Amino acid sequence: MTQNSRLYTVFAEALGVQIDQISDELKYNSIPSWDSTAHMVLIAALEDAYDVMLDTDDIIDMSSVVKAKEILAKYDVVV
Amino acid sequence: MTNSNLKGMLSPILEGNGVCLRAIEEQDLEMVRQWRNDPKISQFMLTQHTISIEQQKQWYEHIRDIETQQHFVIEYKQQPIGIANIRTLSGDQLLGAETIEPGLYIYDDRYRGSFLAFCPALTLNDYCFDTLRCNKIIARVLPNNDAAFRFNAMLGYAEVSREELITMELLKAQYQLSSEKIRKFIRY
Repeated sequence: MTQNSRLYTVFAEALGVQIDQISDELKYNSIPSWDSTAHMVLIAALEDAYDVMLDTDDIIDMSSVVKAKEILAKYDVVV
Repeated sequence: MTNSNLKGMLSPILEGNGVCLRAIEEQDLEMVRQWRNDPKISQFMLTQHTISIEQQKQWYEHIRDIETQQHFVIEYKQQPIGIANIRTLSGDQLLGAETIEPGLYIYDDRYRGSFLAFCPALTLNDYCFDTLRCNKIIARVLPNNDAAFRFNAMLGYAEVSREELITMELLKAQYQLSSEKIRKFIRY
């Protein structure tokens, strides 16, 4: 599994959608299933998958798949 | 004791979990009116008519000195991003009420659908249970508002009836249990 597909899998499982619905452009409110609760589930899944603990401001700023990549990079996670 | 004195016993500013909830002031009224009239917000409200400037002023005159409701602007990083409120349905004053109904929405699109909504919810619920000393808080949700239902369920609310509205309630013990898994992501 590539790093990108691993990230997409985490997003798909957390948001409860098919992986082909995940792209770098996917962001808040672009699909109904990405609500506040799903966002919290997503953060927990990302922290578990990449063994990181995100700052709260980074959690709140994680507004898209591409933004997740940027933020994870701050924690030395290569996606 | 007058209503104004009772109102003075309530906290006009609630701070915690990275957000500030401050009492709505007169200069906020037009912003709040425009937010409330925006279909992205009004579609999930119990009443959905367009609120006029005059109606908004009358509403503010009504709520600013009563002790049965409080209305707050939610600020994050010193910027207004949404609205929160609490009220009693019984007509009793908030302080010491048996049951309180809180409500909130995030207006700013940068934060709608994000974890941030839990921060003012925790601050508001803590205030209801710990400062106002209520025993139960309730929520009424439109059946099409899946996000609000899921949000409340994550906070520990249980559905108690489903008619035109879904009624959910939350007791303090359940709230303390459920909120722990949310608080662990608040690392300020």
